[in-house]
Amino acid sequence: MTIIIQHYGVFRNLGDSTSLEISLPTTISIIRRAMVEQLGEQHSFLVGDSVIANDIDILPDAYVIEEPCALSILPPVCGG
Amino acid sequence: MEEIYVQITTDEISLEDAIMRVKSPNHGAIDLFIGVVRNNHDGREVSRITYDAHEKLAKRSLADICRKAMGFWPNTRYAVLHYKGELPVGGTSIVIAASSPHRAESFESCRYVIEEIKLRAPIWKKEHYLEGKSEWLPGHSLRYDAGYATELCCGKCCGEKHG
Repeated sequence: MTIIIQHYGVFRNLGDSTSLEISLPTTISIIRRAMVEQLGEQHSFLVGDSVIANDIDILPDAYVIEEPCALSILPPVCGG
Repeated sequence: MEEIYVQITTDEISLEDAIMRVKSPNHGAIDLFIGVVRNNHDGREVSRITYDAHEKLAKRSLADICRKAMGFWPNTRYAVLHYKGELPVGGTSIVIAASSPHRAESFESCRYVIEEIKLRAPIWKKEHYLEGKSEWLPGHSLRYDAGYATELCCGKCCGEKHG
């Protein structure tokens, strides 16, 4: 299954999104690791400092994804 | 009239709109915070800033911050409008209007709202410098917010807070 992670903030330097080939069900923790593998180890700290969210909430690492859904990765914030 | 109004907008932010949204016959004070693009940062000359936002989550976060403020300062009203897109120096990036029966609550709650937005709202800034370079600014990780680990459920167990 292809899961698309929409990029925001500094992740936009790496394109609009990341596409991951992942079997469902999966977890946010697995998606996080897959993002580092795809984007490169040099981005591991940034991915680790970021959160993954759907359109409703920030999702904890243990959250189980059973169906295709829209996800985003949110780096550290600095609004205002 | 709504007690909380939040918006992420690509249109120029109207101060009058923000004020009108919090006006109330029994409120004698309105405090207004206006964030504008500064022409320098850390010794570099800034020409403009691009604001990025996860609109759905940002609106939810802004509303949540205002609701919490209402818990601390009852009988207050809020309008928060944040810009998304590119702004030149002097452009208005955010307007917060907070109203209350008396001035103290307006001042305090308005300050609370802007400080919380900087820590919690999924909004980002990219500074563009006169020298020609651009950089996304570092910020506050949402991962380490109090509550991230405990307030959100995995969705597959109790449906409530984890212990």
